[in-house]
Amino acid sequence: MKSKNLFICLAASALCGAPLLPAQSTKQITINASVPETLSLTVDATSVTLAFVTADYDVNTGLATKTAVKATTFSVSANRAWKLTVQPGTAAFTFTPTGTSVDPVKPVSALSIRTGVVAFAPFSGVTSIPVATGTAGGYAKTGNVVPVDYQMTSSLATDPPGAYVLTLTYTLAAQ
Amino acid sequence: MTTARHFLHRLLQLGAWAVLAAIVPPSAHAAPSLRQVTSVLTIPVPASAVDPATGLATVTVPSGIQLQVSSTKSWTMQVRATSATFTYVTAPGTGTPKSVAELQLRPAGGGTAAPVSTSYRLITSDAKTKGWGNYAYDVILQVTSADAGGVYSVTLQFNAY
Repeated sequence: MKSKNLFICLAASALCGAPLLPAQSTKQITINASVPETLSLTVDATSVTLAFVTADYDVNTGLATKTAVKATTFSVSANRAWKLTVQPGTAAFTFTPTGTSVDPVKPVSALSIRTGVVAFAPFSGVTSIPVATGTAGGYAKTGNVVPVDYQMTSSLATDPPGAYVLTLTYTLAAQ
Repeated sequence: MTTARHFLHRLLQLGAWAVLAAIVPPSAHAAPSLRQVTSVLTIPVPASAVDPATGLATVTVPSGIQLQVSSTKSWTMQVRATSATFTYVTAPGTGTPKSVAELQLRPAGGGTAAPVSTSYRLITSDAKTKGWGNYAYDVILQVTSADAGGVYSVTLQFNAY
């Protein structure tokens, strides 16, 4: 009889008591992160001047070469492998004479660039040339800062006095 | 006949005990109830947040995750990720796996932020609630230059007991 009462009591507790909650409660939340494509290029100087003086010219050949070392430094920040290229805006320099000289249409091949200690690479028409490649990282990462040297040739025979201007466009792209 | 009836009676009693043992777990009445206000959190990382020198970005979403707890006794909540790395939704299977450790949570408005892992980590302990209590968590995401552009996804599991 005692057992029967206990049974009834337990049954009542189970059926009429507090709701049957699980011992723990679990929920899931989804986190979606949208990361931008990062390709950032900065440059410390947007103008480079190569000023030839009379003493630069070889008295025999009439030729002169002028170099501007690390005249522009590019900083790259990217979250993927990248490549930096440069392209002249025109196939020839724009000429502003000193006096009344005629435009010699000085070709861009008179200008060369390089990074590091490799040989200078001359431009050819408006064709872009590679400057550097690198991997993902900020500009604090080795290789993501690119100093560029410029070298220009001049000839007394073909280059009348004046100002020769050329616009170069540097482009950073993902590899 | 009496013996047989008595045996049957005992058998029914044992059966009832077995059923009760199965449907009434220990401390069932102490379990907190948990419900989610947030089910999906999207964190856009603006390009301006990226430090160009380091390639790092840290984005904090205040109270990005909001949950509600109802408990008649003191309770504890823990959180874990269901995977060790984010899923790169944009192009699954490509890119460098992004660790869930680059995701941190902390109680909103203060507290210590700690990275998420696949192991449960205690995030809140509190006394019994008066009805449904609101609990919010700041979500802190770190992005590195190793993270290609795109969408990354991970599922967090909250467990209250």
